[in-house]
Amino acid sequence: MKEKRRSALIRKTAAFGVLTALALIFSYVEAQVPAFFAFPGMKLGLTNIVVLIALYRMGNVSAMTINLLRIVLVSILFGSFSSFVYSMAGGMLSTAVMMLLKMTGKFRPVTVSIAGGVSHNIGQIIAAMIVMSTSGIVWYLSVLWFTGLLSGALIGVLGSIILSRLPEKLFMGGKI
Amino acid sequence: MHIMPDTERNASKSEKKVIDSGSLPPDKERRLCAAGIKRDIILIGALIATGLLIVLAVWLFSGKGQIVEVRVDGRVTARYSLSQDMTVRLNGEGGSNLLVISGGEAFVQDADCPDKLCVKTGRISRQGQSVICLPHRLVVEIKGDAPVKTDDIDVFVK
Repeated sequence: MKEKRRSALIRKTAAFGVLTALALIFSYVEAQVPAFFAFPGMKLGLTNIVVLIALYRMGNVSAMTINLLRIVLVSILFGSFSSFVYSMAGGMLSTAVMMLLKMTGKFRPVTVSIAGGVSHNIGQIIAAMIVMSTSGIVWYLSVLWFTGLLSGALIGVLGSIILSRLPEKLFMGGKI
Repeated sequence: MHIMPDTERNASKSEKKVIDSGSLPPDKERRLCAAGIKRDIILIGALIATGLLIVLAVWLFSGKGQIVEVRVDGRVTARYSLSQDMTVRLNGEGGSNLLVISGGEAFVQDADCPDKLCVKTGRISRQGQSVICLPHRLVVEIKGDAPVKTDDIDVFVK
């Protein structure tokens, strides 16, 4: 019994590390192609795949922790203070919203991801309004609202496909 | 070694109860498809509707502006009329941006900042819209024709 739990913990720790590293790489890759979209602040949000998978396979706390770690690491490695503030506001709000929606158990991952994408951009706009102390950019929400929806949908579809192919027990221990 | 933090254990416990469409037995999955997709559609529909409302609100409350205001590091350095076509080179901190006003719209045509986000922002013409170049601490904002208050100093964090 003890042995079983131990192996489950080891597996979970390893999965945690792998997912964090993957989130970090996605962030980096995305930062390298900042401008393939028409609007600043518009991103595909590849890291959200990792957060989505962590959310459904490892639980709320793990998903939140992985995202938090990712944001802190990316900011230390390649970011600036302002990018830290923006990713923090967006990342935490979207993860929180996704957590809550998932916990209701009434929505499928695609929808959860769409809501996450939108709330990510809401968080960023709020942060920008505070940092630049201007409400003038609130109009920009009209653009980012829909880019968030779109990227959330894309990531949600991708994430669902990956989720349906990943064995449920993969990250939690037990027989695969 | 085998001790799991309490919160983590609770999280993984509650995990089991949650409907998870990823890997459910086929019958459960089908039931979720029948019952669950309605809620999903409602939520997504609500999100789209809210987004459209925001677009509408932005459209309604921000009329065409009249004045192009240029600020460097929070200080107003220049004001131009939006109805007068012109091209002007703005000197920000550590670089310059080429501002073009044409046909009642303003945009940054060229800049020597690394990210060129100001160029990509595109054309602005409505009150409250702005083009921001963070590297040069430059803000180009459209204002209405009411007398402009200048005491609201913007703070930039780099």
